Amino acid sequence: MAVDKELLKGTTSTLVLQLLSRKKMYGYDIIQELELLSAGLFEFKEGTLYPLLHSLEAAGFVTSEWSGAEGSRQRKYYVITKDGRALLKTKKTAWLEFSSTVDKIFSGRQGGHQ
Amino acid sequence: MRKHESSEVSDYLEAVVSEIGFKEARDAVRIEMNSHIEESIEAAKSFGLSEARALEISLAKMGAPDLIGQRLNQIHRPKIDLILAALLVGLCAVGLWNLSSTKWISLQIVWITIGASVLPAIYFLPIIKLRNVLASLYPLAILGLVASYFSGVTANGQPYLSLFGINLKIVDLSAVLFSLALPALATFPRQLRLSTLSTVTFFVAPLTYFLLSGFIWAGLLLLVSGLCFLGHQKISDLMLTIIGVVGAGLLLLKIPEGLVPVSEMNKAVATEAHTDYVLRSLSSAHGFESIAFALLTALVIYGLKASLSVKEPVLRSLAIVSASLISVQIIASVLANLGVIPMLQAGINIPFMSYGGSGVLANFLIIAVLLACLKRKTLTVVDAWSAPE
Repeated sequence: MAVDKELLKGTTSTLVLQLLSRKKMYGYDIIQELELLSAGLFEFKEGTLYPLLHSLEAAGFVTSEWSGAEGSRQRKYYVITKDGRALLKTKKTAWLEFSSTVDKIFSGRQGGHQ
Repeated sequence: MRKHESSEVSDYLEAVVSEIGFKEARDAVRIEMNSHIEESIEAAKSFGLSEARALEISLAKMGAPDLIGQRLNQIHRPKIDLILAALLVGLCAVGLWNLSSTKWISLQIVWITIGASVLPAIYFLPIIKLRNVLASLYPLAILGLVASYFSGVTANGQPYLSLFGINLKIVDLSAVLFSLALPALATFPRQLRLSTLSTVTFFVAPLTYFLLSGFIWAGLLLLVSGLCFLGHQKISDLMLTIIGVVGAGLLLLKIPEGLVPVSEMNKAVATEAHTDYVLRSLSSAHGFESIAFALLTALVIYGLKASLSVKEPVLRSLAIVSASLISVQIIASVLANLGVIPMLQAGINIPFMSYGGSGVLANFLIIAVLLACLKRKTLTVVDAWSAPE
């Protein structure tokens, strides 16, 4: 079952920053890792990752470096910056607060029906 | 079309990048997404799919190219650096205010108008034309220096280039031209690209000429900006240190010959608006020196910081060279105005504030190059650098 796109929309940048906080990665690598870690649940159009990565880079949350010689496959690796780590921390805190509140409401509803 | 692109992939990538209005940003997007699609195809084929099926699935997984391109277009739209532009306007305004009650004001307005027209001409040049224009500054500087010996005009021990009745301070101007040309020369296609030795020679030759001729200000400008440039090249630290130490040593030996005696620095002329003692003049006549000092400090700090935000290596070294040229002038001129260091006989220009055509033209050229680099600060690849002409 794929997750509703609207649910994924606001969290994709946080997920990408989380992956980059562990190691530098390139676009295809990020997609594979997201699919693997979510057991195929997080599936979105792969090309849409690039506007996201480029906007994170333009905002200074990630930086990039190219590897691979001309004529061979060139990969653009993304590296999280200090600002990116700070943003990730804020977003994770907000997400945990949000999800625990949603959990509380869900469990409250279930309790009310019992 | 790239070596690895099939026509379907090429069509897909073209559909993405054609949505990006800033053409210079297209190469990097094309390379990055092509690499993604190639890996996706290889992965699909490893599961036993045919080439055609693997291609079809991989492109379908990428998503609508026009929508991706439109989003990328919003991110890569070039923006003028408004802070730098505002600092430029502020400094010109304070400089003009300083000259407002003198006869020099009208000529300075003419120079600033000419300088301001150079700015868009450089700023809006496509990247390859920008490179070509900047590289051509090198022979232009040599030509100017040679021509100045025939024009016969000298002042403060320096030859001036006399053109249509206007005397240009060609030695200092040529130091700026050499500095800006060096990074541009390094971008020429591989077959023409300079070797390490010739890159160093292109820098050391004019530097030696300036230092041995006693043109210490031009020597200092070229030494600092050239070292900033070479620092970004594949040049050994030892060679860089030798050039730096020998250059600085020669500079120190020659500096005493070109200094204004302390007694003269304190004369009344030192507060006249059209001299290089602009801060002193502002202080005595208008009290604007704090504003000028704040703007100059902001320009040094912001210029250097912004130049480091440029990602593509050649543009980055060009931006750093530009910012260092502005910074050296500001730091030296402010210190000379404050009396911390002696003033040079040939003067030390305060960018955009000092009276005089050569300084105004040179600094508008420098700031135009810096703005042109900052416009491209998100670029990570300039494929055209390696493309055949």
